[in-house]
Amino acid sequence: MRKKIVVIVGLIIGLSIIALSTIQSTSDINEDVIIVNNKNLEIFYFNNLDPENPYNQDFSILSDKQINQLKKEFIQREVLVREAKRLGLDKIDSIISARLAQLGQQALVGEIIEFEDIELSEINDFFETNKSQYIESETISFSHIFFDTEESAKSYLLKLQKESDVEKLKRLINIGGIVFPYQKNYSKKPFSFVVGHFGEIGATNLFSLQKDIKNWQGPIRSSLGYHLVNVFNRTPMKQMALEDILPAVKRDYYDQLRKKDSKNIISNKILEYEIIDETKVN
Amino acid sequence: MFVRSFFIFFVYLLLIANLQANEYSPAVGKNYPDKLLWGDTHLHTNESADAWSIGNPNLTPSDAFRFARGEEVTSESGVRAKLRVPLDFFMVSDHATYLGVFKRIKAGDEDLIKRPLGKRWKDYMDNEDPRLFTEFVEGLNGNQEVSFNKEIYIPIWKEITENVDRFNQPGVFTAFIGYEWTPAPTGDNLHRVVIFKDDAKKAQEIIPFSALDSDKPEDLWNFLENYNKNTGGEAISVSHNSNISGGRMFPLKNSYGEAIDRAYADMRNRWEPLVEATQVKGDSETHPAVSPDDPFADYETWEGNIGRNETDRLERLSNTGECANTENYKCYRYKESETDRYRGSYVRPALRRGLEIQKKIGVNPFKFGVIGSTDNHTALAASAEDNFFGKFVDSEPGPGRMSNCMAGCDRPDGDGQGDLWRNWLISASGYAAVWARENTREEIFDAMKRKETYATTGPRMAVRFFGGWNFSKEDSYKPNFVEIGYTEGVPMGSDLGPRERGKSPGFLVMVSKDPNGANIERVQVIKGWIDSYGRSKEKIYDIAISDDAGENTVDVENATYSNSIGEAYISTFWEDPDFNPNQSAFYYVRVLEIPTPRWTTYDSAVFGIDIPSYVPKTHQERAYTSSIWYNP
Repeated sequence: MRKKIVVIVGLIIGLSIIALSTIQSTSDINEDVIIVNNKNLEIFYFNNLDPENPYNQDFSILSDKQINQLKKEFIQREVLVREAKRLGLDKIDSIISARLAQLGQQALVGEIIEFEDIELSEINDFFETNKSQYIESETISFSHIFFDTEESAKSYLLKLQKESDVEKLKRLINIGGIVFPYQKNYSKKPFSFVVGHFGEIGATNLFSLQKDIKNWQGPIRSSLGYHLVNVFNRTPMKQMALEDILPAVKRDYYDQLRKKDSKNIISNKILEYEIIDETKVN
Repeated sequence: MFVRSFFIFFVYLLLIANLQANEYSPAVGKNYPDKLLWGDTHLHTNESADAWSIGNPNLTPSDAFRFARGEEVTSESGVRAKLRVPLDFFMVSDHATYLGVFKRIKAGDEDLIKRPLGKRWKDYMDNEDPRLFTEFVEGLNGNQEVSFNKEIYIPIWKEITENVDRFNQPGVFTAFIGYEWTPAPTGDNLHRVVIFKDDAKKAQEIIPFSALDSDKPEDLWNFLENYNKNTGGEAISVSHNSNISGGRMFPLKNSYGEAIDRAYADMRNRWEPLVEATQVKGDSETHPAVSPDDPFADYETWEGNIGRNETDRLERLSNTGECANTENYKCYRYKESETDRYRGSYVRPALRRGLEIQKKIGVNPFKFGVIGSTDNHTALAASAEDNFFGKFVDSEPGPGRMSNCMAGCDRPDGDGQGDLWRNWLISASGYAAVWARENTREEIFDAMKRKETYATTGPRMAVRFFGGWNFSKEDSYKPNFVEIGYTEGVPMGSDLGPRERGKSPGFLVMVSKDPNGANIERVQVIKGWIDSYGRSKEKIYDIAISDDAGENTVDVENATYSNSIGEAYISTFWEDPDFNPNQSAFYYVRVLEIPTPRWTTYDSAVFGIDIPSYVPKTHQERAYTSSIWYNP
């Protein structure tokens, strides 16, 4: 009998909660009623403040005039938001859904793996799988003489080719052309560096040249002008050894774990949902 | 015997003397700064309380360094981002006020949460309580009630600085340790970034000096001096956003209301050699109100202080035409009575004011060089117009960013009542250029101290600027231009040497376009001087100008332009035609590119959206060099 009473009381309480929350949610979704109270206004006020601005006032000390202005803005915002929702615009706006997804992710992602706990064997496995990420780029080493026109570069090349005296040739190399804003000599530079000084077209042209210590090549064109080039070294792409870059690989592995961790949390959360897939795609 | 020994000794002396006159090794004495290095010394990540709060809880300083050195990073809003060309040096400058605190409280840092303020903030975060913002703002205002014991910053600063060292690769990529000091008394921006020359071990001997410690620049400089005295380390401060300082960045009086004296001037020159002249919150070179004869003065101009009630200071220029739209910020100006604020808020009038004060006290307190940087809060040091990732996450690439507002502002009445900035206003700017001997912390830091630096609004145009008394037109064509510049004159950031009788100063200027960007339209020398009454003046000289200057090839609809106009390379000589040897003066170079699409125009083409009528479609990006000064 006692058990029965407990069950009945429990049922009554449960039904009351459901009934109350239904009433509450019904009032929440009454889109034609806008409740203006201090709590709503305060949240609205702070959501629209510039946090970098130290001139902001606390909500509690706003004047009546400011509160009335705030009310007007709040009501206008609420009306517009509800009208937009009524038209279903929140469902089709990609920025709103992307931002909500981002907020959801921040709220869900919790503890992460400790950096210090990572074992060397794990790093080794990670490195072996991702070896292609740890490649030293192809490089070029060269000197160049810069000209503003192709003709002046061509005629200077003839001058260099004709000169057989080593000392005179050295002098010609030193005094030739006009001043280049960056460097005259480049040692073991990758394409990504060269492109910053010679532009896309200049870097492409330079990397098309072969090593030739004895001869000046060109002229080649860059985005700034024309160049005679002496290529004294080229190095091919090279696989890096783990021992040389261990701290960097460890950090990358850690970042990957962090991302995986976050992915797992989201995947587990997805499992808590019932997904009704109405597409015909398998 | 004695005579023979004396003779040998004499010959030996002659040989030595001859060798010293003509060095055996041709490279001796020619160690000129010949490397042009590009960097950003002002960027925020999730260690900054505001960046963390406004949509960037994930991207770390490591992400920022990776991006700066050319790696691909996915932005907070999910867009993949990569620089076209990597930077050579870089510094993350997260806010010292609550450095790393929000992020760690959210992650459950026990040491922080056990403290009353930490616990309170954790509760705020868990309940999305807006008071978190109020108290953060109070902290920026220096409210000691909302502060932690400084010891909490020891492990945070240790972690941050050691991480920077991991990215520093001498000769390849320089990573500086630094932070931002962020006071804004009564809303006027006095912000500075602090750059350390040193490694983590040395930098860890201090705890960053924040706005909670003091809102007076003099106290920051004292702190830097003590750091130097106590540790042997070295750091400098760089001011930024003088344009929104309400005239207080380059003041006539110190923080205690006293007229600037020699001690102030010496201290400022010693610890603050540079100003960030351009960045995402507008350009600070000059303003039309103080440079009315400069047709290029109104560039990426911001009026008023961010979010301040400026109704009593601003006036609306018109209510019709484009100004019928109250959102058009270009239609507001400070009232005439407020012009003096500009003089203390922009670089050029400050350089002029420096000469005026020098005339009175004998020292120029505003003898600074310039750099540019981004001040982005996205961990992404991107400042190209077609590769721009905005100021905060809400201005990262997307169709809405041209019409939305920073942190969701929504006050379209335009009356200045708490308005936040419209995101179309932000500027895709800028970078710091440094002439150094090597790509190392020491060399770049030294170049900054000697002001051999310049600012650009993003494009990487190369600029050389030398001043001297014996240069000639022919020197500008010579391949040893740089050697002549250094041996016969001085580079940007320096004082001209003693005047030679009857001569006017001459300048060698070499400019080349960004190798991956637009051609150059014109090169100008901007001169400021002081007349016999102690009043400063300014004049702009076009020293090289493309034949087709004034033309515009921009196709707004498709956001393209053509390098069929302008010049790729300019090398020239200019002599001051109005030189008066009795008048102190400064000279700097401004380089203007041909017109190109503004970032908003690129957005319009990429996202298929209309550009509001009041948003500029095209602009002319630019570089400003540090000055060369003449003193009678």
